[in-house]
Amino acid sequence: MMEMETLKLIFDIIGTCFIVYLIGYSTFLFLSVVIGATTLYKRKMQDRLMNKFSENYFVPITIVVPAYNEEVTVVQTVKSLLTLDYKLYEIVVVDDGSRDTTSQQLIDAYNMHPVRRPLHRSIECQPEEFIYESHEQKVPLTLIRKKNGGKADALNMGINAAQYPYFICMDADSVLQYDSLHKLVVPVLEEENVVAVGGTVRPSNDVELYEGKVKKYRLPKNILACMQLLEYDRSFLASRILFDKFNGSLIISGAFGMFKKETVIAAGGYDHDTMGEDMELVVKLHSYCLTNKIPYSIKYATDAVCWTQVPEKLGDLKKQRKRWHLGLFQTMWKHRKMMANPKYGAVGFVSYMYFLLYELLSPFIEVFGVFTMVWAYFIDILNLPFMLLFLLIYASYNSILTLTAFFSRIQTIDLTVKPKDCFKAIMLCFFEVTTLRFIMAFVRLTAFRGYKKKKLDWGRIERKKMNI
Amino acid sequence: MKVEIMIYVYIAICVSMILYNIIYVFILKHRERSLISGSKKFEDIVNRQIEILKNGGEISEKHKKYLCRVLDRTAGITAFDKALDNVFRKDPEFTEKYLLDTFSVFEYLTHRYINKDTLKIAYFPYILHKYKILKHHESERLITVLFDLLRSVNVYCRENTLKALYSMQKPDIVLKALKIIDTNLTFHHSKLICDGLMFYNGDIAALKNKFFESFNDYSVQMRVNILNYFRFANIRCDNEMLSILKDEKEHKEIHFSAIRYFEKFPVQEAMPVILNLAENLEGRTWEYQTIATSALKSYPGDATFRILVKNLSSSNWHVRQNSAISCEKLGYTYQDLINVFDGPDRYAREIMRYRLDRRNAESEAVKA
Repeated sequence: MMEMETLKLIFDIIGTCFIVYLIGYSTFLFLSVVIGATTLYKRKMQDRLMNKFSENYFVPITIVVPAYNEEVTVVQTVKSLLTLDYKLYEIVVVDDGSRDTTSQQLIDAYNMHPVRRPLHRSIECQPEEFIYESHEQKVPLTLIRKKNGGKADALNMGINAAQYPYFICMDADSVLQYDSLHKLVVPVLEEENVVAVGGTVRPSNDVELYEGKVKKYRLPKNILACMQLLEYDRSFLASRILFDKFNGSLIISGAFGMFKKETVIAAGGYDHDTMGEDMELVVKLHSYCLTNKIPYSIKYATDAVCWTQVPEKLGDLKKQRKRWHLGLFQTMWKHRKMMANPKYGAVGFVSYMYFLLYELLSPFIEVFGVFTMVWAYFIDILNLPFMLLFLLIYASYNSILTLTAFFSRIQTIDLTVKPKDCFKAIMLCFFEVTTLRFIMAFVRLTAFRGYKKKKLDWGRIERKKMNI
Repeated sequence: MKVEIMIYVYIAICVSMILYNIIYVFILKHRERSLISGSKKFEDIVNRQIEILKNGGEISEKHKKYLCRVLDRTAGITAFDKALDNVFRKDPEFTEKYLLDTFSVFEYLTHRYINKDTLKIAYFPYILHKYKILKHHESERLITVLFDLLRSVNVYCRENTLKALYSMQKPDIVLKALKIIDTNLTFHHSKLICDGLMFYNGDIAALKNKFFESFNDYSVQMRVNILNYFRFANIRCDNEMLSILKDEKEHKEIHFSAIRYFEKFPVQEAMPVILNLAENLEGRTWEYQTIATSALKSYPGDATFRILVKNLSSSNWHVRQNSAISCEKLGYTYQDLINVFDGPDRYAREIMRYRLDRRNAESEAVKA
């Protein structure tokens, strides 16, 4: 009898903790979706009322494309970069010792010639094996083939070779929308001391693009890809815009972000030992600027779009998410001094704590929650109908917020979706919240198994040729 | 019980989010439809007024009152803009006449818009700039309001206002506007000023003279922006730049702008100064040597050759690189630089070989 009462007390405490946790997350999600949607609508209003630069101003940019075994997509990626509606940029492709014909594909496609170019090594990286250049294109194109050292190392090489004050990092399987560079430089023109700008990443599966413009937009046929699209919209609309409001963004996607070269070099460049080098760099920039009392801001350009392929197979998605989770852990651990540290202001108190509780620890908490419920059910102390109702409402709430994010994005970037696709989004958002989320929680839980072996791994997923 | 309350709150939030979505879709659709219908209506109205002008008549007071009333609203002014865009394309001459005759409307609206939200205010100077409404009319009251708008916290409001003021084509107005931006504590990117000045189509010589008369009244950054504009817009000011270059007390950023000017427009009197800056640091920062070495590409000669070869072995990477670029641009060959290639400095050899190889590849590409 006594034991039962103790158990009940334990379950009560766990239940209360869960409720506090869920209230915290729900409030965050609610605030972020509402603020995100409002910001997007305000942006649309701004455009309508000519609160935009009516002429194009060109900030010189180097686009760094790190590539590893990208023979299928690299030529198309560069081709799409050459069609960008921007005048002042260069392209630097860094082949990180690919075992396939990545370099040869580029050399042949763009008639590149070998050069003996000395590089200004501001950041340490593996040595180059050869360098090719082409000056026959619209903008200078450089290929650097280097000894394998991982994505961060390839990016550092790209920074060393960059000739312009800002550089963009992107994935070799992504396509930048034709106007993305113009949109990405807007925060630099609007505000002083901008050291980094993140763009929006949208899944390109089954989207038809021509010269960086969307010709035909539809939701991916593949259910898994479609659910990721909803997830991306929620994430890019919600947390990134909210964190942007108080200069607290901790992530700029590795698929599309722009950085001030000088500041990145001063901060030490990309970290070789972290799998989430994109997040680590942003956290490092916060840490570097705040520690050295350098005025700075890290912005998010909601309308600068990069299209990327998301995994269509569960195995690929699991690999990707494990990698992301490990990268998150490594970054959080490396910068643990920021945790609730008043020296780092809102970044330490709000952003860091959010990522710790609702990103890094969430799989543990969520899976623990499921086990607790099952256990409570078997010892007959769970009010099952109430619990189911609660979960159903919670899932509906999350689904509706996801849909709000999805529709806000669609409405404000002038894309049209067919009713069939709307119906598909409505159906799948519930499934994403109730099923995919839990599968991914289990996947992220197992991310730490054998992670030392994966340190320099590029995290391959199956690539398809894109519709560009 | 408390948990039940939470569930009710969740349900309420879900319902309000659905409503929010639905209402917003309707608002957007309605706004789009009303913009199209409103602009069509406006087009007809403006066309009727233009017909009257063509027949020698005048714009009626009734029409002006109508404009004052409708353009005061955001929906009205956006529809008017869309309509005017179409009308202007078909008949630019009479549209300009129509705008001239309705100038009093814009004068009135200025005072209405100044009290609105900054988002809406920004649209007003945009219209003034787009249709060059201020080009033929000068209104003290209106200009005063525009000068005030330059102090707005909204960068687009400042930017649109600057363009509207540039469209007046008056050097005094432009310089006063830049002075206001300069003294304003709000950040305004130098690129916006430098590139934005390209929209000034007035008397460039007058602008240049008036600027140099009050040169010291501006901050270093603003002076650099304007000097850079002169360089980009190919406005020659050799004497003024020469005295800047020779003035040792001048700020280094202003010196850099002058050196770059003489790189673009070579002047023999500037050569000794640039040679000296490229050769001797004399307590100056490395940037001087880097920029002067780059400028030497426009000054061929023995002294230039000697300094460039010397700078190829500089300990500063940027100086070495610029030196190699200048050697390449001046057309020096492998034979000319044989001492560098046979010399002990590996860094100098590598950078120079790269530049010459690159020149060959580029010329082959041009031939092909």
